[in-house]
This record gives sequence, structure tokens and C-alpha cells, in this order.
Amino acid sequence: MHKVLERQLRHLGIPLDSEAPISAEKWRGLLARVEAAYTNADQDRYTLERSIALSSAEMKDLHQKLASERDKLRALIGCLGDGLLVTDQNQRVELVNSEAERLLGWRSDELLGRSLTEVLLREPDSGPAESLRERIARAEPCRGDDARFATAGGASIPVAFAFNPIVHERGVQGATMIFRDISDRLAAERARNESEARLRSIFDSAALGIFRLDPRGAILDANPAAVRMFGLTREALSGRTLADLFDARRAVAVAPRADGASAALERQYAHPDGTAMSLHLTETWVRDPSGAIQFGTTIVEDVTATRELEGSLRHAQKLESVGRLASGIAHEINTPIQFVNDNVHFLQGSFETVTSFVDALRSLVRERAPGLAAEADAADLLADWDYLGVEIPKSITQTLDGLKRVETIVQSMKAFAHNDRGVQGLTDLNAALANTLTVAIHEMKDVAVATESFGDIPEVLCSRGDLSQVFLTLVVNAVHAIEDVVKDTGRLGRITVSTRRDGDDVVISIADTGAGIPEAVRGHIFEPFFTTKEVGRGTGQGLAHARSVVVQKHGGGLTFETEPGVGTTFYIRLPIAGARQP
Amino acid sequence: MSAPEAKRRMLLVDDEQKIVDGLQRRLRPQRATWEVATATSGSAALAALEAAPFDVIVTDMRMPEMDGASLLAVVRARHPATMRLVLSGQTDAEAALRAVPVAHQFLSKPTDPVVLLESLNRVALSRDAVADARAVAAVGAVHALPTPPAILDELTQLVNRDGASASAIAAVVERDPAIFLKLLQLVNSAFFGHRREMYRVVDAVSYLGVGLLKNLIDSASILNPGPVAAKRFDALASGQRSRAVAEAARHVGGERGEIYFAAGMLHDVGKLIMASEMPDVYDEVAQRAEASGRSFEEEEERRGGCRHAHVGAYLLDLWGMPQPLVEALAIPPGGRLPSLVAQADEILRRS
Repeated sequence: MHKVLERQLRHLGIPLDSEAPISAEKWRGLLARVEAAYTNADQDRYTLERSIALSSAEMKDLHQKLASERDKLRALIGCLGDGLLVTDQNQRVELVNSEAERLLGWRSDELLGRSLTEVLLREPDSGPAESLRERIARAEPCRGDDARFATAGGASIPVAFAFNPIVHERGVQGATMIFRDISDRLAAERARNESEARLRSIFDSAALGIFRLDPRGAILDANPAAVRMFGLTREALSGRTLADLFDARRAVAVAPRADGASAALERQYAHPDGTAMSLHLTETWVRDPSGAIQFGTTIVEDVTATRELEGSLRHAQKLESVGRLASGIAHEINTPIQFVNDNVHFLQGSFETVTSFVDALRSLVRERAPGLAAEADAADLLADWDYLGVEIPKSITQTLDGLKRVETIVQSMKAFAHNDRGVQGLTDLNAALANTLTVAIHEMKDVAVATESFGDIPEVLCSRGDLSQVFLTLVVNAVHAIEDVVKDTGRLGRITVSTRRDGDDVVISIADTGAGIPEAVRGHIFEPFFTTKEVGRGTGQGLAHARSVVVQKHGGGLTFETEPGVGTTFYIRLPIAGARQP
Repeated sequence: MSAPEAKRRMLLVDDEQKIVDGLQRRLRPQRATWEVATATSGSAALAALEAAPFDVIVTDMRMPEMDGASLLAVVRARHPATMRLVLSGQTDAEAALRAVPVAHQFLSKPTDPVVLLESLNRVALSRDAVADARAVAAVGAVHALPTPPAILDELTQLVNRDGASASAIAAVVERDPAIFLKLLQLVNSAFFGHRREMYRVVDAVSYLGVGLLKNLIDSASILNPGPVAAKRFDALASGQRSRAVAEAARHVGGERGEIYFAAGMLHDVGKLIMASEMPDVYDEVAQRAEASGRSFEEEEERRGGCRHAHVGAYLLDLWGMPQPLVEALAIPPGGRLPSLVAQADEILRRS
């Protein structure tokens, strides 16, 4: 028996020599209790019984240690920032910390004894709620990030929790439920989501093109407007830098600027469909506190129409001021023309009188004083009268011709410069074209001769002033085109200006015998600021302005045919009844 | 007033001696019918006018001390029967606008004085046909005919609106002979630079520009909405009748429809002048016509003195309206009305 007990005690790890000697009677008592414990086969109980085997001093010490540990634990639980519920092995709450009381609004005695699943866990709005509930019921460890706990008064709070069973050798002894209120976090998340959605919708629906760039300037993302504007897919855009996208000849690196501030640039872009666009770019770079670039944003505005309008307007203003000047000069010339004309006419009439007077005298001498005839003839010879009698009237006629020409030119200039402020009226386009050719006479000199081939056309409702400028632009362009061909050859080119009626339209054509327009630039000639002429000879505004006048203002058409080495013909088609009112 | 067989007298005024010398030399061959005097300043011109009456004064605009417009304003007040012409080298709109209320015609340099003299002979004949000194002075002094205030208001609102179209403006003007006449007068004057005769208001508005029209309306001295003094004259009704005659005349005119339309619009301007400038005569004739049941024209004839058709024709000639228009309103020998108006009346009666 003794041996059995000894073996058992040794098996249980109970030192037998810890408190010797043990009296037989003590042994017996001890044995009986060990026996009973053993039959229960519960190791804890052995331990428990073992403790009984300890001396009372040791027991006291142990109790004190335990109490101290418990107090520390209580203090720890009490000051936990999270709510804590501890349950016993029957899933009933047996411990509640003050944070849990605060969060849930229950007093701890109201919570004690309740079940976690029934009382506290309410269905989350979504997610694997049921399985969480089941896992808690089965005392499996689990976490929840979007659960709701019921609070006093029937409300609930959103919580994140961690559920952990307390497991011993003898099985589940209870569980801990640690949780925290996540209302603030949810609100912040919601706000962030809303703000993101808002930004996204701006990004997606903005009329402006928006690019997100990485620190090196490569495109991370492009909004739909940018995709439209550049005529490239999002995929084709992504990874490229903006500098890549622009006409290589005019490209200026669009790169982070040293100061990190935003920068505005304007670039020409050749859209894949062939249109030339003016784009205004505003780039902004965001840096971290150390100054390193984190990302960039470039906002692109299509300012093509604005630039065209501005260019056209500037051009029109320039034409207007030149016109005013020309008309001022015309008026200055008119005063001397008035009296020169009057005087020459006076001389013409007077000389006729003088001639008949001299003739009368001569016949008088011949008839009445034949003796004086020789002297009279000598006087005539001396005065060279026969010559003068023929040449003076001739010189006067030629002078009057010249005056007439000056007058016509000045009149044309005046009519050409007449500013109708773009108001449309019935216009004799043949007359306007003839005027234009007169005004351009100097440009054409030694370069080309002009041929008018005017058809019988009705008056057209249009702005004479604006169209006269268009005609002049085309005529001067024609002269320049011919000049390039005939320069220093002594040959003359030809400009043919014709008009004809075509149904409800009038078609004006201005043809030159120049070099023709090279294929490469044909698509660009109506673009604002496009010019192949050297500086000072063309602004690149003429044809753009012409197109805007003919197409936009008059609802007409401006087209051309060109053949290298043969020449170019521009066609202006204008509706007789004027532009249809929109 | 000089008798037809007496020499007509012209005064040329320009601060540039060469201009008046040249003109005078040029007109020398006309010395049998015209006496041409010159002056190189406004004050010299006024002195010459005080010394003896002139049929015509032709003056430059830009002159030191007293410019052409100021000179003509004085002439209008002191010698209303004298025809007042401007011959200017400069044609900017502002200067032109200052001349509009005081000048009958606006010529621009260079002008052929012989052609001018021919047209002045025509004007002088029209004037002589009026044969009534009071009426001649009244026509000479008048610078605008009265427009019914309602129409002027409508027009003012229209031109002050952005983007008012020429056709919308024309639609209003074509209800009022007074403004109709003023616009045709301006657009057909060399001053405003047009070389082709114009009869359509829509063209006139396009050509002159809405801005100039706005200036005309804003300048109270140019378009005068003053009430018509004659009690028996209804300006609105007269305008409506003129418009109706104009529409009918357009049909009669065929290819010359636009000229006839304009002539129809203007066929009663003589009445308008009489009603506003000689209201006593107008009311007297109108009253007699009402009492007797005879036409206004017949009563005029019975009464003796001036006749509105002659007064109107003189105004149109004096204001330099194109000859085809003036001729369209000529009264056939023995008739009382221009044949155009008689035909239009017939059409209106039938319809």
C-alpha cells in the first residue's frame, strides 16, 4: 500500500520528503484524499490536493501571491482602453471592466450572468455575422471588425472585437471578449469614401483633361476628357510622359520644376484625327516633407477655339487699323486731286480757247496783212507752235488720265477700307473683287497680271468689308506663290479671278500659277499661326481668318485645289441669301 | 429770290486758296449763268452773304476758327433759302454727323464741279417751281421731318439691343417716311462713301452701320420727333398710307420696284413739311378739302400758292436724292399727282 502510494505520489510529482516526518495517521488521511482525487483522475485536483499537502506557511504565502496577482489583474483590466467581458465556462459574463460598462451603457451587475451571444452580439449590418455568432457559441476564437453590440436603451454601437476562449487542460474555462467602439473610425472612413467618390466623379466628368503623374512625370491615370482630348486610349497614354505626346519639333520637356510649384504651359498638339490643337497645361507637383516629389497632376484645357478666336480678332483689329490709316491717307490725297483736277481741266479748256484765238489771228494775218506772213511764220516756228498745238492737248489728256487713275486707286482704297463693322448687306461682289485687285496692284507689279472673269451674279448678302479682306488675303497669297516661281526670271505669272453662280450660291475662284502647295502642308494651311512664309511676310493668320469669315460668319465654304508646278485655286462659296440664322 | 433769267450765285468756301481758285477757274466757262465768289474763312463767307444773297454755299468742313458745320448753322439761321453743301476731303463719321443737321448735301473731294453745277441747276429749277418764298425758306431750314414718338421709341430700343439685325431695323423704318428719307439721304451722299444709288433701307442700315444709326437717334438735333403743328395732320396715319402706296407702287415698278417703293414712301413728304412748318396753310387746305369733299391737291390748286407735291420734290432734290427717285415722283403735265401715286391709288382702291 505504502509502495503504491509512493509510486502514485511520485507519478504525480509530489515530493515525499518535503515535510518529513509524516505520521502514520497523517499519511492515512492524505492517502484517503489522494485516493479519492486519483479516482477522479483530475490532474488539477492532484495539484489542489498537493497544495493541501503544503505547509500552512506555504499556503499562506501562496494565497498572498495569488491575491496580489488578482489585484494587479483587476487594475490592469480596469484601466484597459478597450472593453473587456470575461465569461465562465457556461458562457455567462462573470467580469466586466469599466470601459465595457462605459461603451455599452450597462452597469456591471446588469451584465453579469448574461450570455454573450444572446445579449451582446447583435447582427452586423453585413458580413459573416451568423458564423461569428456560432463560433462564439462554440467558443472558437474569432475576430469581428464590423459587428454591432447592443447597448442599454436598445441602441447599438459598431465595434471591432476579439473573442478568445480560456482553455485549460480540463477544457474551456470561459472566454474573453475584448472590443472597441469604431464609430469614429467608420465616420472617418465614410468621409474618406465620399471624398474619394467626389474626386472621382470630378475626375471622370470634368471637361478638362486630368492626368495623374508619377514623380518622374509618367502618366499613371487619365480621365475620360483627357482620353477624348488626346484621341488615345487610357492604356496608350499610361506610362508615357506628357512631353512624348506633343509635337516633337515644338516639344518642351514637361518635367517637375525645381521649385515644386505649379506651372502653366501652352502646347500645340497634333490630334490623331489630324486637327491641330492648342492645349493649356497646368501642372502641380506634391512633395513630402523632405521635399521629394510624391506625385503630380496635370490639368489640360483645350484652348484651340479661344486661340483661334483671339488670333482672328487680333488680325481683324490689325486690318482695321491699317484700313483706318489707308482711308486717312486717301482723304489727304483727295484735296490735292481736287484742285489739280480743276486746274488741268481749266488749262485744257483755256488752251482750246488760246488755240482758236491763235488760229483766228493767223488767218487774219494771211487775209488782211499778207506782207506780215513771213514774220508770222517765223514767230510760229520760234514758238514751235505746230508742235505745241498738238502736244499740249495730248499732255493734258494724259495728265487727266493719270489723275483718273490716282482717283480710282484712292476710291478703291477708301471703299476697301470702309468699315461696315461686319454688318451684312447686299453686296456686288464683282465690284468688291475689282476693288481688291486695284488695291493689290502694287503687290502684283512685276510678278503677275490679273485677269477678271466675272460672271453675271446677283448681289450677295454678306459683309463686304470682311470679304474684301478675305479676297485681298487670297490675292496676296497668290502673288507670293507666283513670286517664288518667277523670281529673277523676268517672267510674269497669272492670277485669274472669276465669279459664277451655282444654284443658291455664288462661287468665287482665285487661281494662281505658283508652285502649288506641298502635300505635307496642305492639311495645315487653315490653321492659325501656320505659315511657311519667312518672318515679316506672313503672320499665319490670313487664311485662318479667311476661313473664319467665310465659314463661320457667312455659312460658306473655303476650299482649294492645288497641283505642284501648275498652281493653286482657292474657291469661296457663299450662299446668296446669307448665312442661315441658327 | 433771283428770277430764272438772272445769274445764279454760288459761294465757295475753303481755307485752302488752291481749292477755291481751282473750282472758280473750272466754273469760269459757266459764267453766263453762274456767278462764283470765293472765301477762305467762315467769317469772310458770312460777310459775303450779308452783302448779297447767294443761291448756294459750298464749304469745306475742316477750317480754322469757324469750321464748315458752324458756318452752315449760321447760314441756316440767317439765310434759310440758300442751299447748303459740304465739300470735304475728310469723311469720318463724327464730322459727318455734325454736318448732317446743317447741310443739304454732302460731297467729298474730289468732285467734278461741272457735274455739281448741273445738279444744282436741277435743284434751282425745283425750287423755282415751288414759287413761294415762305415755302422755299421752310424747306431750306428744315433738317428733319417729324417722326411719330412711338416709332422713334421702338427704333431706339431696337438699335440699343445687341445684335439688332438690319432687316429688323428696316422693318421699323419702313413705317416712317421721315427716317426713311434721312437714311436714304445719308447713304446716297458721297460723304458716306457709297458710289451706287441705294433705295433699300436694309442696305442703307447695313452700309451705314447700326452704330451710326444709333448716333443719329441719340443726337436729338438730327432726328426730330417734335410734334406736328398742324391740327389736321395725323403722322401715324400718314406714315401708314405712305407705306401702303409704297407697297402698291412696288408692283407697278416691275424691275424698278425698289425705286418705286422708296418713291411711294416719300410721295407725301411735302405734306409733312407743310404740316410741320406751315401748319396754317396745311390746316386751311385740309379743312377746305373736308368741307368740299374734293381732294387735298385740288383744294391746293384752287387756293393758289404752294403745292405740297412741289414742296416735296424740292426737298428731295435739295437733299440730293438720286434722280431716278425724284423722277419717279415727277408730276405729268396737267396732272395733280405723280403718275406713280395715281396708279398706286388705283390699286389700293381696287383691293
